[in-house]
Amino acid sequence: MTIVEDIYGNIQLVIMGHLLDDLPAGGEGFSGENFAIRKSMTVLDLARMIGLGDNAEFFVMINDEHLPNDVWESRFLQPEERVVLCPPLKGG
Amino acid sequence: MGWHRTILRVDLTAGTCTREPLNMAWAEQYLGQRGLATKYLSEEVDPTVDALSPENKLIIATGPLTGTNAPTGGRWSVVTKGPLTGAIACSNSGGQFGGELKMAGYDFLIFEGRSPRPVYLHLENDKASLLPADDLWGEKIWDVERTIKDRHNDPLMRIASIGPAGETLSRYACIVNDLHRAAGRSGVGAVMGSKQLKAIAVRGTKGVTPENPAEFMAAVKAANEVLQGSKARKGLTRHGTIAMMDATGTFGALPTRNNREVQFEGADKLNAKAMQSPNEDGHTNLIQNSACFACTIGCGRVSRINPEHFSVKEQPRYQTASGGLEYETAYALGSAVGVDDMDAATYAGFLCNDYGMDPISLGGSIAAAMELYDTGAIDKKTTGGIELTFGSAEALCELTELIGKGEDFGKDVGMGSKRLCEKYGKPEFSMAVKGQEFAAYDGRAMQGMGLGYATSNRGACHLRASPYASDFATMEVEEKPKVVKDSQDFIAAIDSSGLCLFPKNTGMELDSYVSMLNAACNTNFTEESFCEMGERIWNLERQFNYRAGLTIADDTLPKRILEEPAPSGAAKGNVNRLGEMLPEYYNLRGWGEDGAPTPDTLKRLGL
Repeated sequence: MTIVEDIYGNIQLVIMGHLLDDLPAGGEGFSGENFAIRKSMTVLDLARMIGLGDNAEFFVMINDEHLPNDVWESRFLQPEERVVLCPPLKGG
Repeated sequence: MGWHRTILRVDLTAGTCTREPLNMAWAEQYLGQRGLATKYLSEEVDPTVDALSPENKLIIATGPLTGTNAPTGGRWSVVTKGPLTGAIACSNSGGQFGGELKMAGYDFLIFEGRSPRPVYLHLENDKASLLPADDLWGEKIWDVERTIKDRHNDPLMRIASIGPAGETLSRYACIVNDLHRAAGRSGVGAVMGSKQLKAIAVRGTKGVTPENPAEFMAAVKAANEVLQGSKARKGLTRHGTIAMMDATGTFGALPTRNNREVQFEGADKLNAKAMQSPNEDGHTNLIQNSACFACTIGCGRVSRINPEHFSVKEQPRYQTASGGLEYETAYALGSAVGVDDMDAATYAGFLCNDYGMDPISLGGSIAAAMELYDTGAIDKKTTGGIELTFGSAEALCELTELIGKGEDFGKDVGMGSKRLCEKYGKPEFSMAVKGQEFAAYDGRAMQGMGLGYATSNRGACHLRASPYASDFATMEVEEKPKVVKDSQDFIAAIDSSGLCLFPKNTGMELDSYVSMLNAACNTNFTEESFCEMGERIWNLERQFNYRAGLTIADDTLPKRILEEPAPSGAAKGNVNRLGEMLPEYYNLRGWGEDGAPTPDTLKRLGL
């Protein structure tokens, strides 16, 4: 796990489904617990920091609103936000 | 060779079985299974016939890769005119039956006419006979399988059969094989019931030999290596399709209480984690996963209901392990009806397998009935005393059994939500396209899926288009028509091959399908020509529907999805923008303003 220096605040981070299987650190601690972020951190920064590869497929909800893929690099995370990363499965 | 080049034509009226050669000129254009069976149906059946009349035909079809060891090479299809929709019906199944049928030496079985008495078809390689089934008529599917296997002293025989729902002509009766796999959608089981055909029992030992064995095995090995390393495949193996519950629930695309809502407060009691976790009694729903013939994914679930649960406490029959909830059934028997009781939903799923009913249409129809009840359009007098409130696990279980038996109010609900809601004066409560109920995705959050539902040739369906990645990425609609059209085409091709769609969904690209096909069949497909074949199939289905009387007006969605904004989630405040997508979709398809293929399109596709 990367240690965040210069903490800006905490978000609530939820990671779902088989994305948990992809994490180097395993699935513990990603079901809504506080997660420290630094200032000017984007969703893409967050994904890389927790170990999701650039090819990992997921969609993002922030405070129950969808964050389109094309703004992942420009939208900064704010303290107290609830961030959900979820894999977009296909078929059922 | 991939094909056995053999059809068995069964004249149920005359009681005869006749072998004939497969039309290989057509096979080159339509491959097998869905595509080739659609060609046969189009040539042999007047699309305006009553789907439940002897003039309709029932085609059981394998693909050239069915029965091989290509990953997921056990798929088979049922193609007929559908009694639920009046459109073409093509219903696809896995399990072991398709591989066994191919091993017996048949590509297709074509049933025509109507038997004067109940019969079942017994196939043992070249030996084919119609046998009396008077004693099986009225029996449930699990009993039918056991009885036929005992009768022939062959526990390895594979059986596809209908239950009481097919006999009583429920419009969404299905054909169940191997106890809990099913050609589920569009009411193909009712067509089988209308012909007084109870079951098909098959034993085959001929094998299926590819044209170029070494090349074929190399292609299979490469395909399996892709699946072996795929994270999506591993997730599907480990969690099953029910893992989707977290995705749609979070996104706000999980149809809840007849699509009044799009997020379900009980979703975490119906998801993969809940399925794998002991409840307060220490009972775990999931026993293990399971795989169909030659499948290296294993998305199937085997479940057991808590023996103390109200649904099975007095019924040892359903205390055994059997096919568990998939995502679609968890939606239809869960969020759609507002029920968060996993064991109750599992029990309703067991009943669907035993009576032979499509759980998606059943759940959608019960949800519509619950809304009728909730709004006062029907009352306890109509339901026969059932308190049909959203969220009632007891009502779900009781009504499912009544539908299976075709009794009382169950008869009404067994006609499907469209006919049910029309009967009680609220057609707008039917969440269906062309009369077929929605699958587990709300078209307001998933714009592409909405377009896919509206344009699906067999009515609303989640397996006729694959806009998932696009829909979870953006709600803008510009790219949806192309995503939907392209996926409809390659899915039609895959559905004609003998393989499942899930390898594609978990990382195997189309070139792998093409490599295996070319090695097995001595064909020269490219990815482009493979998809073009899918486009040809799609247009042939469309032509069948137009000849049956469907029009551009049938390419639509219920008023709720088009006019009532989603109350929460990613699409909060939004409706489906079908009107913006359809013109571009028709344009990409090469269809005219009337929604029919233009002469140029027909010529380009060789139709």
